[in-house]
Amino acid sequence: MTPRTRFSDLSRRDPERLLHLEPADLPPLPLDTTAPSRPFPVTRPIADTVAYALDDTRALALPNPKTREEEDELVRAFLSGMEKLFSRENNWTFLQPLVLSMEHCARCQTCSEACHIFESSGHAELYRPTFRSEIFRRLYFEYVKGGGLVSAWQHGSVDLDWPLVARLAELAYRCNLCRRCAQTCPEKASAVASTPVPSTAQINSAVQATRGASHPTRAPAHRSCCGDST
Amino acid sequence: MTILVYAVIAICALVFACATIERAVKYARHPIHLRWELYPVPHEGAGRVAAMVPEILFLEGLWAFNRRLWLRSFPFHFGLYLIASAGVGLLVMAGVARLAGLDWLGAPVGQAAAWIVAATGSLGLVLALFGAVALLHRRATEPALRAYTTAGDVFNLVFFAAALGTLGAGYVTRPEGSPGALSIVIGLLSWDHSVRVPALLAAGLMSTAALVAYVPLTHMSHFIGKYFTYHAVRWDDAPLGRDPKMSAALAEYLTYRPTWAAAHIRAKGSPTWGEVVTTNPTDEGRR
Repeated sequence: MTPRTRFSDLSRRDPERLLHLEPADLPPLPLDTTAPSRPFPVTRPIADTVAYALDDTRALALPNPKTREEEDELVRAFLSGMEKLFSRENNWTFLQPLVLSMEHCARCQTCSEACHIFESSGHAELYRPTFRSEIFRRLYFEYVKGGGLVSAWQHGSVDLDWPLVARLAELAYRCNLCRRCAQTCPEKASAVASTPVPSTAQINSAVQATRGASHPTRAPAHRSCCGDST
Repeated sequence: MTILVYAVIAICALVFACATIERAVKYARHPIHLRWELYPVPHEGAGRVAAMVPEILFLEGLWAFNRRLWLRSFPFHFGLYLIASAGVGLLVMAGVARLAGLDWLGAPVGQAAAWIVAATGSLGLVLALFGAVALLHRRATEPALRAYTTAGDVFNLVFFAAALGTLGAGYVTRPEGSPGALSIVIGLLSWDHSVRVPALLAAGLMSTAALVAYVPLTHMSHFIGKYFTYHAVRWDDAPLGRDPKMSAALAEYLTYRPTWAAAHIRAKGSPTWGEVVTTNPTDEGRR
């Protein structure tokens, strides 16, 4: 039984992972089951120098800021990158599907069952395709569109801090951009938008792009097929 | 009261039109984006119509991938279509009556039209009301939906249920001899304030008008967004090189100057997109 992660959990400051899966939690694979299974990797404690943990894996090695001032600076850099995602000069390549995803997702969860990562995890809420996109959407309305009480009432809100940014960046790597979510989205944006917006996958690539902006000196020097900051 | 009803309906219709146009223009002005490559892509008009009709009318995608939600969402949306159709029917009948005279309404064809419009609108109200309540219930009871439901989402569905419920109750309980829907529409078009609209029906008309104005201001304006998600995102795979307008647009985009801070973008010195994408980031990184 996987835990039901909440949006606010991404802001937790304790060193515990938000999610731990045992091999028994995963669906059986069509392999030789008589061979002894390897223990699931990565159970070592989280080092103090590494950003907040998400689950058993780590795609990024974001260092933990030493002071609140450093944290605030990284959060500001994240917001700066996020704003760039919604400008034609910086993201004309994906602006339209991204905005459609932000503004028209009905949060009907139709895309969830199309996500092989969510399904294979035993429906771990953390891996639900709309989990990270919903956080991103709430940040969009609050920080890119101006926010306010009416906006928070209409779109919801999340507390933005460094642990959330670090975990959200890591969470972007629990998506391999297969776009099955987009195929099943009733909006056809949604998964681009209620459009099924190539949405959820688009948002994942967008979050990955902000990673580059928020941590310029440590961003891997690669360009993904879609959404990296190029 | 009658003038108030007319004024609210007229103002709300204006807000609906302006908000719809504003949102559509905003999306239409977005730059051409990279292809999302979702298939199949129907290229001919007939193929697109064959894909659009079942999706728009019957929510085919939801039927295929989320049957439990379809059972609630389909009656809701189809009911709204019927209500809108009845509204258009009333406008057409009122227009014909103004041109051909009110006697036309007493003729068999006029009576048949009135019956069809009344039946369509009534069925639509029942379906949409059921759908709104059913969607609200599902959002409140299904954990996967509840965690993602905001106060605004609840308000939206309650607004639908309350407005349509009031409209239906006002129509059913209107006193004998009071004007029906067609009389009110004819009165609206001629701004005839001698029409006496019963209080509950007036409340239903005004709240439904407010609802119509509210929808394009929210994410519920799927009828706008979905056009672009299908035609511009999902289906637009026009090849580069055959369209001078597209070539000109892309040439303009390549003059934009990105300001990304990430080192691998090499945006320092304010290069253009054209310069960035013709630079090998691996070579640059090795220097």
